[in-house]
Amino acid sequence: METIQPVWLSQSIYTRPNMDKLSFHSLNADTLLIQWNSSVDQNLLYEIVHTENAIHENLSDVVLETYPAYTSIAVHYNPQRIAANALAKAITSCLAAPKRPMTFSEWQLPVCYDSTFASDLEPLAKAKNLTPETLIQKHSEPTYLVHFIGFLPGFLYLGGLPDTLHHPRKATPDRAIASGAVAIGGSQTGIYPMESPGGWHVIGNCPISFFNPQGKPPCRIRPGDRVRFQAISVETHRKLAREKNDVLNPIDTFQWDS
Amino acid sequence: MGQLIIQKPGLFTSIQDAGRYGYRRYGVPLSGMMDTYHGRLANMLVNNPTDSAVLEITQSGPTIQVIGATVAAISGADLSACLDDQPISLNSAFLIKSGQKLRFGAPRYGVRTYLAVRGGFRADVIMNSRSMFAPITSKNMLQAGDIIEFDDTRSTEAHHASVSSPESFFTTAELLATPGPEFDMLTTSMRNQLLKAVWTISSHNRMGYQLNAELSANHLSITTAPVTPGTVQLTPSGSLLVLARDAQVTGGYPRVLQLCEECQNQLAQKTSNQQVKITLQN
Repeated sequence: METIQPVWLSQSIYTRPNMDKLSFHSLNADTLLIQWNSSVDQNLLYEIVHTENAIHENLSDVVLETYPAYTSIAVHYNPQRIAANALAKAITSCLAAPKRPMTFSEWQLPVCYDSTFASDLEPLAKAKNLTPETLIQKHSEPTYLVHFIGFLPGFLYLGGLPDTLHHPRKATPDRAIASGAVAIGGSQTGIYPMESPGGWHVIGNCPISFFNPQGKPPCRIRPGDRVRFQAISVETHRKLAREKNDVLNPIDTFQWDS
Repeated sequence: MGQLIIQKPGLFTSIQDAGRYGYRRYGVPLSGMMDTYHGRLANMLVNNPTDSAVLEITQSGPTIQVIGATVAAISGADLSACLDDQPISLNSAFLIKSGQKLRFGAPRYGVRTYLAVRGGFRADVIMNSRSMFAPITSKNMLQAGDIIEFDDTRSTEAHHASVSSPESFFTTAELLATPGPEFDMLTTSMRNQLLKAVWTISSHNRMGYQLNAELSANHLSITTAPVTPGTVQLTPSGSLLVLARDAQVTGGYPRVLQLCEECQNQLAQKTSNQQVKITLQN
């Protein structure tokens, strides 16, 4: 077998016609970082999802796994099969193929905003000069976009929190934020899939667990999907939590065609 | 089936293998042996595939009753391992007879040591790995009364495999790194400070090592981006966070350096108050 000489890539830039510039950077000896030099938005999200799909379709013989974030993808590859510069070229060329429309799901997650679960709702509403009711309405109105999963297993990074609800994280993080807690931190909102320390402001709780280590896949909500929060009563929360009914079905599917 | 009965768990004893590859897109950390060099070595000494499940034993070791016979090996930190009160040599395969007891004493050097048995330890494979990491597995570490199974029908034929691991592995204070994606964000003076500083380990666990020096605070942050074990993050207070096997898969602090794999293993053998320097690899 041909021996592959390791190559260290620092900021190799590839330009594609009519596209943003992509830069490639070796994160370590077997992980290549693809970085987009553009701001976080819906178009970039779908460009990242398309790129990951193209890598898995075309380069599965050399790529072991990929994991995305807001403006980049980490590509873990087999350095015995391909060198970093050859991989960067291969990724660039498989992106040249015409894009096909991609199908995504829309999910509705029940959230109980009652003070039983929302230790920070009142202080946060006060700080934002809103009534708790208005805050709840503003939080449950938008359709959020799933950018990627990180921080904790099954923690969704959601885009779309209204500017009026942005609020700095707590200076001193709480020791334990409950499993299912729905919280706001900076310009982001999210759901803690398990108990964890954290500095976000807790405004509610979702009784449905959508991350299951035994599930195939472990999380059915994927980057590119849309999420909506549906305000529920304490009784409904109790009922859903008791049923432990983790079967979550999308309320809709949609296509993205760029 | 052979059994290890954990009588006392020690400070932090867990089952680890090569790690949980393929699930970082779901936010699941890699996990696996902190010092892969010695974990693999222990496996090799008992003729296992190098990614077989081993026990990772940290600083203060467990007391273990063994039921069933096997060939075992311990490699890594010297934690004064004894088999029925007889000292065990590190980095040599040895025979355990049914009913014998493994004990650990005062740490002599290093932090983490690896116990391998022929055939590896049995534990449920969840997401391609036996590595313990809650909530993917039910717990993070072994507790008193836990029983770990192994195949005791393997040959226990006399085995004279023995290797020596260099002392410098444990004593070196120089860690080699490559520039991280945000190294260029730093001013020349910050880069010099970073590479000239003597860093003191202030705390450590399987998620990472925190290193402190007299470095000024900064306001650098990045859009949350992928990280990997060995990624060195510069925190706002000026301390460094060297990510380890159980670290989050993404982070928002600048990734200023990336520790080479061998040096990640060397760092995993260091503990609080020890000092290190970080040097750029050519």
